[in-house]
Amino acid sequence: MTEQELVQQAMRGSDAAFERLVRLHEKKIYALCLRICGSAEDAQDAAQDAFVAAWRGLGSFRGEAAFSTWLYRLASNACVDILRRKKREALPLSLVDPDAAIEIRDETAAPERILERKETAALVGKALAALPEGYRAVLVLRELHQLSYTEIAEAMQLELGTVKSRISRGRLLMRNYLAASGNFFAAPPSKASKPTKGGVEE
Amino acid sequence: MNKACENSRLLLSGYLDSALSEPEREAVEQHLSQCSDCRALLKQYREIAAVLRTIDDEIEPPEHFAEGVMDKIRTEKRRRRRRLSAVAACAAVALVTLSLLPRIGISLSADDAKSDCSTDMAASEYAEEKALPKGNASLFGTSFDGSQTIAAGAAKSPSVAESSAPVETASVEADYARAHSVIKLYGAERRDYLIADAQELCYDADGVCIGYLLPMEKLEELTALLDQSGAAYEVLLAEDAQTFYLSYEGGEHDG
Repeated sequence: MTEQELVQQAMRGSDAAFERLVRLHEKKIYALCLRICGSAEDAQDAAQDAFVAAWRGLGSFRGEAAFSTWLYRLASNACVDILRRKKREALPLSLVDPDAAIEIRDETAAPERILERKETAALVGKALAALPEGYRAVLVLRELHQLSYTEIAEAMQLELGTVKSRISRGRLLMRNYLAASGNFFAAPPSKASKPTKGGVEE
Repeated sequence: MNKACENSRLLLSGYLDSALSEPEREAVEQHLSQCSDCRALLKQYREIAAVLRTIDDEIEPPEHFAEGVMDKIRTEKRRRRRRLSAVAACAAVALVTLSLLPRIGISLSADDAKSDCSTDMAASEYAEEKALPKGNASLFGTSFDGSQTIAAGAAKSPSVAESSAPVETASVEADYARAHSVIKLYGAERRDYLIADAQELCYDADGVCIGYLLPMEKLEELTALLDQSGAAYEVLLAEDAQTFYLSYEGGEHDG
């Protein structure tokens, strides 16, 4: 059965069909929530909220967007709600000030060591977590979930231009964080792009 | 960094995603062919992207995640069947446009609503945070007669807000005394408005609650608050409450 058929059955009231949709998407939705929320407990709550919201909204789902994009949208809404509830929302200030957004810790700068794959992933995960929430969510949808700009705009309810600039800025912030950590990139950062301030280059 | 690098770096992210126009792409490639720094940066972007692509491959949701979702849904279905009978008894619907309002927090103390509403906590916290002048937040916080409820909902179309429909509440309040009703909340920012502790009745495609059950006897107070806030609203008759409810929650989906 295709996803579309499952959606239609679920809309007609089939719990079995809806459960199959949950199982089809739970991994991605949970992973997204984990990246945005940062804790397993919050991620589980947010992901469950997202699926319950999907079930509630089935009657109004018109299928203009793909079911998965709609789920991403519900999931990011659920994450925002949970973060807001916990009052852990990033300060708006950090959204506009790349220098303030990233703290570079000296202890990560162990020089000239080749990282294991796991360590590399951990370091990249850390860089991702250091991004302001608005940048992180957009970048996660792009890089981890391979959504197009248009799909991200739909999922996050953002203008296309905002999506583009957040992805661009988010990438630069991550790159600067990793360059400053000293052992991520094989070659030392070139002079011209040296991250002197942990932010956008002069 | 010179001007050419600056321009190219603005476009580098879009280049990575193949999201540039043809002239932009050509300009970036032209610059990359001459600039080793920008090439190095692009290479670094690609290295990061490669790690990110697979970074969550091994993440799995907690055990019994789907069962947990389905449990919640079954619980909600049972609640909905109870609500349906309340809505069937609706005498009136108040259509309220909250898009014109500053953020509002309305608190009900119905025991049933409390135990029934899965997002109680969020709602009450929200009410605290977003409340109008303080007194309003607890306007409905006292003396609720659990046997009488109004359903309150959120309006969808801003045009209703603009139409500033006449207020009929006062003239029919006596008949409402023993009745139920529904209030519908509208507006693009409807997720910013929560009626705390009310029973959530129905939801739009974003999963945002647009209909709440409220005590009928509080309708007058609610409309007074809405008047004070400059909102437009109208009161409709029984069938419309049911039509509204059924249009969102009706049929087989309600199970």
